[in-house]
Amino acid sequence: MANLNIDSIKTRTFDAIVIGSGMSGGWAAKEFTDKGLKTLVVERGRDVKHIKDYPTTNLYPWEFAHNGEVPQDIQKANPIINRCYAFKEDAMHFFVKDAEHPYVQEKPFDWIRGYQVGGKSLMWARQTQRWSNFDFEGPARDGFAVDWPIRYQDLAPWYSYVEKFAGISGHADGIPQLPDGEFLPAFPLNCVEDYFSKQIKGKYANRHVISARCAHLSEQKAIHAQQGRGQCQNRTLCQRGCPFGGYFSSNSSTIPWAMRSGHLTLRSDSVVHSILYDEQQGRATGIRVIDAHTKAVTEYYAPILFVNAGALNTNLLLLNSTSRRFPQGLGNDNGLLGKFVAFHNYSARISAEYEGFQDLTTDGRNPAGGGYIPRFRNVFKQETNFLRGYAAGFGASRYFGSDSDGLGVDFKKSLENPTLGPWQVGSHMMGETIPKETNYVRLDPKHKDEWGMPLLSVSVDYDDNDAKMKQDFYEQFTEMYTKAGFTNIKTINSKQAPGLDIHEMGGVRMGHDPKTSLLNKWNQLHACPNVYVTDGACMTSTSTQNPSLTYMALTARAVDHAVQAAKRRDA
Amino acid sequence: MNRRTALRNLAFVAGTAVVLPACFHETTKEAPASISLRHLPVSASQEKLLAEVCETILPKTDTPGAKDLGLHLYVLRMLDDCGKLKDQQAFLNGMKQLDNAAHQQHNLGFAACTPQQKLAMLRMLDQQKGSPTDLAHFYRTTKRLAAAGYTKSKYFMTQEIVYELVPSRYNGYFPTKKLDLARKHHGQS
Repeated sequence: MANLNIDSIKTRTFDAIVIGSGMSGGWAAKEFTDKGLKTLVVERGRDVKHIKDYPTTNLYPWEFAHNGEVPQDIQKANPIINRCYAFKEDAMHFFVKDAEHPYVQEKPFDWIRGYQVGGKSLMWARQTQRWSNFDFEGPARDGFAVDWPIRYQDLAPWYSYVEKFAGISGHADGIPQLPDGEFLPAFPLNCVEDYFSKQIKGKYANRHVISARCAHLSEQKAIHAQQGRGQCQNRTLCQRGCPFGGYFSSNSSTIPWAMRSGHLTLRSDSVVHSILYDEQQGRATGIRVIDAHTKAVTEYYAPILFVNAGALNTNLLLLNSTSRRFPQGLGNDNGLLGKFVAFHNYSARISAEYEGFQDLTTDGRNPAGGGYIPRFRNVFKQETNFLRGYAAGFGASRYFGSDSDGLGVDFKKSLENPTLGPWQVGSHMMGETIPKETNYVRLDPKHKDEWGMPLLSVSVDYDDNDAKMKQDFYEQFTEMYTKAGFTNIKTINSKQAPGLDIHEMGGVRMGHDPKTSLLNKWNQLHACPNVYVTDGACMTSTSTQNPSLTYMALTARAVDHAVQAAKRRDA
Repeated sequence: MNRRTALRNLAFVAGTAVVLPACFHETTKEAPASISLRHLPVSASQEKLLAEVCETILPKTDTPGAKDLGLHLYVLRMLDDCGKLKDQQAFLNGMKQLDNAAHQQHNLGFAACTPQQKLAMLRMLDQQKGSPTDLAHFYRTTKRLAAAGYTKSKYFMTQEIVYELVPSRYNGYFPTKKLDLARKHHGQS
């Protein structure tokens, strides 16, 4: 019996365990297996295999029962996820339904989740802008959070490393607050986006409208061919999963790559209950896993643990990992675990029309989505009455339309002969929010889910800084639109709750000082250094750029550190 | 009125003898619609009425009409699955009101009216502005959904335009004069 037990433990022991298979978990899996480590990836959701499990990917519009719309009963049963822009008939099977995984909203918070192998990397909007030193030095300069323990120089080579593998399209624009990267050819701006770019360049010193940088293979390099990924085909049906592997996802890229190494064990339908801590060894030893269906409990062991469960779930898991040494949650000596959560403010838009370029339109589809306007407020010095700033998306398009009046033969003719409408332009704000202790997540003291995990209770809200910044976005963009000759300018206030931006970050922030942060500069828990957190939970501040690329770079860097550290211990 | 139309009208009048009682006595058991609906209690005769409304809005010309494409079934399916409860109720009320109005004006159910009579009744609704009555709501909903069903039908997206699942291109400076309006590609604007 004793021997059997030991054998059983042996089969459940790995060189490294990665919790979560999304954007950052997939990278951890790839990096560990590349370095020859026997790696276990546990994913709470079901398996989704590249191409095979993309049921809608090649459907024509008329093959959907409801023309893309979500039926009313599904909408009513899912008020939270239904607010997500991508929750449509073609991709709703990749999103967590409200009733399946409840949480507590102390304040309104739309938590958008994808529980499956690949996580949200399947449905993301694929924007990949590097962060700059203006972001990493920001808290030290402005005093709104603790100092980041790293600078751009620490991450720059890792950005390059992940960009080459993932495949990022973009221009080298030479903008200090948006460092250039290893780019495949950019998707071009269209005539009106280009026009706006030139207008802004001519009228402002530090404002730029550039091609959005995105995780699409505008060109297939050898490294992408080795992954089995082909060139982006401009379908812009990415949220269904791409049969060409044209955009980066864990499913198309890192997970199958890690699988081919022969070193990966992937366990889907496995809910991690807690991280095991051994007081005698003074380190984490493994994880307790609950089978999502049978509820059977199994433990797995490894000397290195990576937590990549998704920002808020990583907080939940650490808070639930209690021991005599860590009664408030793993690594939580200072009581700050779950606090200083922040996000991006996406609640403002501005639209307009342009009467020029009537003789031009677009042909095909742009997977990058159009233009990107890097942050231009408070970059080189504090110049407004709010901290930090915002980036913005910018796009222009024309649509075929037809006269909706009349009926009979004439109406039918008008449907069959639509005409081109005017150019319409639109921009959405991506504002940095300030991490605050009052924005937190915690374990609900009473309610548990069906796997015995306490429900996550979320208390996150906007503040005055966000309101001032949003007003500034409206004012600056109205001015920029007006100067460009756009007409019929309309500001739109979506009044959406935090969370719908899908950029929640923090709670397990990095920092120099164990008194004011949870993680060190290598993403290790200060108090339990064989546990690493490299997903959105680790972020000290949020910047204005989309965060996923930074999670990838941090993860690759942290795995490298973990493996080097393990080697040093062996030596 | 030529002889053919007169004959057809006669046939419609004869036909109403069967249809009429069903229209007026809603409590009696009626044949249900040909597709299963979860929220809309629509009978076979109402389905026929809706098919006539759709065909009047989008008649057969040298291209298929609403009946050829089964657009009334698309309208019912979308309204049943994706419509809000109050819109479903207004739709059902409005549909009954249209049939009643046909009886008052022409002594016939809407489905049995002549194409000209149908067109005239719907044209009045089409020209109504302002906040809709249930009758106008029924008409507008039907028109909106039928038009969407038409332009999203396989026929339309393969014959009238060509929907391209894979464009493999993006040109942001495409001259409008190069647009082949006779055979539009979905990838174009």
